[in-house]
Formats: sequence, C-alpha cells, structure tokens
Amino acid sequence: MTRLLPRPVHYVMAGGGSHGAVQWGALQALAQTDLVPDAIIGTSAGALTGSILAEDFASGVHRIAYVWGQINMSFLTGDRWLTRSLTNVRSVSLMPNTTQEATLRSILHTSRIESLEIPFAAVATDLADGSPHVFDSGLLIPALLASSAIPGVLPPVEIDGRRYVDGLASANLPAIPALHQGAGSIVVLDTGSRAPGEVGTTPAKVIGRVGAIMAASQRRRQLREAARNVPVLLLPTPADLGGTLDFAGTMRAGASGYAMARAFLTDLVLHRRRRLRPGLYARPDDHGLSDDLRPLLREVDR
Amino acid sequence: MKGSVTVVTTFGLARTPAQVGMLEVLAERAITPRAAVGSSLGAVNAAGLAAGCHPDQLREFWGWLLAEVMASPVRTLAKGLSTRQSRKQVELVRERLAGMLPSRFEELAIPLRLVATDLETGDEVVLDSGDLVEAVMASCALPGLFPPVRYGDAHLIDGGLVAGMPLRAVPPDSKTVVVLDTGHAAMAEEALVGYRWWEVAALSYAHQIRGQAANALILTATKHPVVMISTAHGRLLDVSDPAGAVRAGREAAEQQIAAVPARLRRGVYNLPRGLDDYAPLAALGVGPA
Repeated sequence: MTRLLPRPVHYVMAGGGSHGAVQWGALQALAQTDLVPDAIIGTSAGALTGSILAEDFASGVHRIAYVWGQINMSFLTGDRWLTRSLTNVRSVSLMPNTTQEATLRSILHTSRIESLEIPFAAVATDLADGSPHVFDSGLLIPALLASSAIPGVLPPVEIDGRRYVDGLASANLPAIPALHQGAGSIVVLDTGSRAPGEVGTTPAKVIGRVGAIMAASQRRRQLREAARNVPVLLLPTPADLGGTLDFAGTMRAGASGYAMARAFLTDLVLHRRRRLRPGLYARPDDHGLSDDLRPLLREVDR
Repeated sequence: MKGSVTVVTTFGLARTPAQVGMLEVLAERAITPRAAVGSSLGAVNAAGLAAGCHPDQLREFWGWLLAEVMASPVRTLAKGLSTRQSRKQVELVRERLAGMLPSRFEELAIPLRLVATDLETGDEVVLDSGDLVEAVMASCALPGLFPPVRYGDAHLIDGGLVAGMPLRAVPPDSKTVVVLDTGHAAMAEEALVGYRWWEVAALSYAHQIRGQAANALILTATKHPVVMISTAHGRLLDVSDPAGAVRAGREAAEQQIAAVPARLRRGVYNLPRGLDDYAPLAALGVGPA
C-alpha cells in the first residue's frame, strides 16, 4: 500500500451519527496492510473515531470497536432525555452536552490535539459564517464537542470567542479540508450514502428526505474537488446500515464492511503497480457514486 | 453598471423581502432586467419582476405571507407537519399568487427561469414554461412549510436545497448577472447571542445551502461579470418586520451598487463575507470587496 499512495496519506473520516460505527470494519482491514496514516481528519462521529485512532494507533482499531460497541443513545442524552428536552424548549438546544462530554472524557486521555500520536484534526462549522473550521491544535474535548454539536439538539460550543456547530453543516466528509492541509492522497472512511429509499410526500417524510439530498450534494462536491487533485480511495461501505439510531445494527454492518474493504484493498495491491494518480478509486458499482463523479472514477482492479 | 442585466434571486427565508428593496433601487438606477432567475422563496420576487409587478404588490405579498402564513416558527412547523393544514395554507398562497401573476410563463414580460428540487432524485430542475403559479409554488415548497408540488411524474420541492443561488439556470446569452442575495452573506458573531434551538437548526440548514454556491459562482464568474448585492440583516426566522427587511435591501443595494465601476469585467463584484474564504472565488474577485 505505501508504495501506491503519495504521501502524506490522510484518513478522512465522515460523520454520520450512529452510522459512524460502521467505520470499524474498514479500519480493521486497513490495519492489516502496511499503511500508517500521516494525518487523520474527521467530522462529528468520524472525529471521535479518528481521535481514538490518533491517540494510540496500534491499539486504536480494537478500542474503536469496543467504544462503539458500548455506545447507544444514552451517550448523548443520559437518562430521562424526553423530560429534559421539554424543559429546554426555549433554550439554545434541546439537550445539554454534559453527558456527551463526560463520556468523551472517559474514552480519551489526551488533553491537547497536538499531543496525539498521529496529527489529528476535527472539523466543525462556524455558526456565524458557515465555513468549515479545522481544529488541529488546542483542547481536544471541546473540539470534538463542537464537531458533533447536532444543530438544535446539542448546544453550539464556544471556542476562542466564536460559536461552532456540527461539521455536517459545512463538510461532513472533510476531503477538501484534507486537501487544504496538504494531503498527498486521501483514504475515505465513509458512513454510507443511502440510496433513495421509498419516497413519501407526507411532511415528515419530506423533511427526512431533505437532509439526505443536501448531504449527498455536499459529499459529491467534497469527493469531486479532492479527486481532481490527489488519489482518493473510497473504501466500500455496506448499504444496510440500519436506522439512524440503530447503533447495534450498524456495528453488525461493520463486519461486512470489513470484508468489502479487505477485498477492495487486496484488489488494489494486486492490480496496481505504480503510484496512483489523482482520481477517485472506488468500486464502479459503489452505491455512493453519482453520474458527476463517474468521469473521475479509476477502477481498482484494472 | 448600466443597461440590461440578468437578475438572480436567492433563498433567504424571512430575509427574502429585502430583494424587493433591491429591485426598487435597480429600477431607480435604470438598470433593466432582460431575464430573471429565482430559487426558493426568491422565486416569488423573480416571478414578480418578470411579470412587471409594482414593488408595492410584492411588499404587500410579503407582509401578508410573513404575518399570516409564517407567523410563528413553532406553529408554522406544526401546521406544515399536518398534511391537511399544509394543503389549506398552499391554497391561500396559490390564490394570492394567481391574483398577482399571469397564469403562464409565456405571458411574462421577460424570460423567467425558476429552480426546484426533484424530491426523488435530488436533481436540480429548471422550470421555464407552462403553469407559472405551480412553478413558483414548486420552487418555494419549503419542507415543513408547504407540501411537494406534483409536476408531471415528479414531486418538486424547494430549489434552495440544491441551488440556493441558482446560477446554473442563468441563460447563457446573459451579459451582466446581478445576484440579489439574502442568504449567503455571513452574520456578525454578535448577532448570534440569544439564539434558540430552532434558529441554530435553521442557520445550519442555511449554511449547508450556502456551501453549494461557491462552485456555481466560480463557473458563472469565469463567463460573466457577476455583481452581488447582499444583506445579512435580521434573523432568518424573524418574520416580524418585512418592511425593515425591504429597507435593509434598499440600503444594501444603494451602497453596493455605488461600489461597482461603470465598466465591468468577468469576475465577482462585492463578494460577501462568508463566501470570501473560498480561495478560488477570492482569486476571481475583482473590484472592491
């Protein structure tokens, strides 16, 4: 692998709430190659997973599987979330982030980002101007809280006088920020781009669909811009991740994610001899590919 | 800046009435539109412009819409979530629009192109012929406010989801493009104090829309001079003062048109703060920021 990818190699970890749990599978497959990332950048759930990996790379993959195995809704909400959110109905968020902060502190032991073993960055959205902000130094826990502050649900996090919310509003799959950091090649750990399911026209279904449409458009832009400039490996992600709050179902999907990523990486190593040129390296049948990404597609086994 | 231009109206939630003030200033400066392009709630102003409506008609429409239909965010959402209630709302809006606009695109004074989103595929759809009121309703079918509009085989919703600044729909034979922007300029940090959770959610939703503008703006500015007139006045969900929004639009237009030289080159004039951090855009920017 290392001979194929121009350095520095950046792992890009997409956000996706409970669907972040699927990334353990692909990370397991990557850990079985000779590849060690020069930097890791993540958004939201991907930032949490990325920071665990960056803290101690050798044990990281095992800790990630363990941590995501323990996480469920109470990670965010604590007990009695319904009563608590009803009392916050006129507040800046429906829930406080105290439970989330306590959980993060029990998982991570490094206080500053620059003290992590592998250079790491978390992406959040500046609430005033909407730009993606890359936290690559400073306190780790506040940056992770900012990166995963689901707008409206969890409070914006104030850091150095500015307010930040979840990176999903600006760069949920932070490939362009990785490019700006100087990535020589990018390995994308996605959380699946769900193919449009049954489309309903009831108001609740429409609202649900809106997030998916906007996320897909933003994801395409990130992949397109990155793949024009550097080789981008889009590791395959299983399609059946379960519901948005189905942590256990997503964990199980991670197992097939492992098998898919392993086959993908094996094909790449067997069929490619020279250093990869800029482009999007993905399975042609990857459900996350759209027509405007196809011109950038490079097949792995050719 | 002189002569005929293509006018583009963006998304802007409760700020959209500011575009009416901007249109007034364009008319006073004898800057004449030869085509109009609109998306999301901006579609109403683009259609009004193309129909030759008097600005007072548009003022009255926004005063009514913001007071009667969008009055309180929580109540509006509650209504929007009920299929029956949201149908009822739509009928009221449709009647108002029908009273103000001709019934078909073909009857308009200048060409008009409106942008909507295909609910199923997420594709950008350009509407430029046939039933005008239906097209306006489709372009501004904000999720949670109005239900999707059935259009042929497709269901269409808010064009802002994929093109809050609908530059890809600008007719290729356009010369100067003037963007009346109520959604893309950054807010001042101080303006965020006292935000409620639904405002944080709406602003983040707006940010996701804003992020899409950079690419379309680059493509357009390499072919045409693009003059932006932007305002970030007022909160995106504050529907209490449409007249104030119109005034803010007037002020923004007066200041920002004055900053534009008489002879224009390709590039972006008046790139607003918040879009200026996209490096390729800043490189294209000409004239005073």
